[in-house]
Amino acid sequence: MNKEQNHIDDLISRSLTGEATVEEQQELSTWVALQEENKKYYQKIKQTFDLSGEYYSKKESKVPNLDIDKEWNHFLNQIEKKETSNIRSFTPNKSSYPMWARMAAAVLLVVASGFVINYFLSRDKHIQFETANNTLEVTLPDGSHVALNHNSKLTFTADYGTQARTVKLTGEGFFEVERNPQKPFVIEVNGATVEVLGTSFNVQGYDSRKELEVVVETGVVKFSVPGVNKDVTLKAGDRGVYQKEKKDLSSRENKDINFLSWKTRKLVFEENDLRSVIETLNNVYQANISIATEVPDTCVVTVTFDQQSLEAILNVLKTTLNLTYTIKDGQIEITHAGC
Amino acid sequence: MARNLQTFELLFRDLFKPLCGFAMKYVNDLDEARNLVHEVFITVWEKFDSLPSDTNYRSYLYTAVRNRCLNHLRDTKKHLSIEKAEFIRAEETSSMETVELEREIELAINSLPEKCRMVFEFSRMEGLKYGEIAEKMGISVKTVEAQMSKALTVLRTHLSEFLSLIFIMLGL
Repeated sequence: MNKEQNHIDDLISRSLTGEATVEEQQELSTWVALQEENKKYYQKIKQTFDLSGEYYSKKESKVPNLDIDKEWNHFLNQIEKKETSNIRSFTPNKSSYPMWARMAAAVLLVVASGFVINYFLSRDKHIQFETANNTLEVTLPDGSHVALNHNSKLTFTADYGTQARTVKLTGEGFFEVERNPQKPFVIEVNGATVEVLGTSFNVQGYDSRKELEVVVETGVVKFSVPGVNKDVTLKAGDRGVYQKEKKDLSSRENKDINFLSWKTRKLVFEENDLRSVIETLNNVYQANISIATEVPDTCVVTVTFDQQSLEAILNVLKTTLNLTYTIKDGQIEITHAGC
Repeated sequence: MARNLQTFELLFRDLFKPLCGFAMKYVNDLDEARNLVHEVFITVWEKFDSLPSDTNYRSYLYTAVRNRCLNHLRDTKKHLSIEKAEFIRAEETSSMETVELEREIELAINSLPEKCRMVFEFSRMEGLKYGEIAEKMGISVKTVEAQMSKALTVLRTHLSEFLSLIFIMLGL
């Protein structure tokens, strides 16, 4: 488009919007009168201008009266449904345990291994749940559910849920969050923030680990770290990893089907090598198993354990992999692997 | 790269209602329109990641809704009885051109680049002066002027087919 054309277009726009000066108005009139083509050009733009004005004045009354929060929720539910139906079938079957049974189990665990709940209604009214060698199920005032892994701590204020839903976590926890788009559920862990748009996910944030991990089971979770110029949105089946030293935040598909075994006590191994199996057992059972021998590449494990004791699991491994081990002061040492 | 739900939510909140209004020009039923727009949002969300970063989402969504509506009409047409179709046609003929023109205007406006559309809407919808628009958007009056002219010429090109029709009808 040439310069003169631009000038004419600007003149027409100015004239139509009432921005033109008297001189400009005259200039335009002269130009329009000059040729039939010019007149047609001007009229078409004026027509466009008028039609758009009519269009806008009609438009207001035609936008339907819908509750946008409701529509957005509907959308979230739909994508959630789609995504959940895509993930693997490895999910704990909650309905098989009624509430009272789960509570009883929690109480039993508490009695068995000695735990601490610090509940003090002091000035800042903090409520705190803490585990040692046990795991613990906590129900929050809004009905959200948190399972705490060993050596973990969950803190929230007494006014949780009135303004916001913010909790602090150290260690590891599995969260099942009630949906409430007005009050997002926020977890502060290791200086990072996990914000929940969906429902259930696992957060591993032990101080001793180099990586902070979030694995999403259903729904959508936003994972961000202040100072890190990027956040990731995780959907079902995703694993978000924050490398604390490198300050690097990333996400990928979660390949570890045992990420929730500490809670479900269900372990699935599919051609895993012995070393990774032992690592998983150490994590899940708080065990202290070490390997003091060469492990052949052929030592792979394919087996499923459901609610088994560590002793039973070791027995199975012993026979299938031809292992020899010693037990001393709670330390288990594998001295031979004959697989 | 993770799909950005936050960005998507903003788009959704901004455009869901106007898109329903737009869809109603095709399907004439709010529930139907709602469903179709929801379907479009889900499809777009699923490929949100793979869309080029400079996509004009607004324009993209409007076009997607239009196509979805047309497909819907095509697929459900056979269920309409002939009498009913005749009746609807008779009823609608008078306003047919206006409705079509409105749709075209809506599509054309939404195909404008974001800044250009904003300038145009401030001017035409809210009747703001160049100076006021410049201040509101933090750009120069010169830029406002340029965007306004651009909007008008782009719209004119988009609508030229319809406009020439109207010109003929008016004997111009």
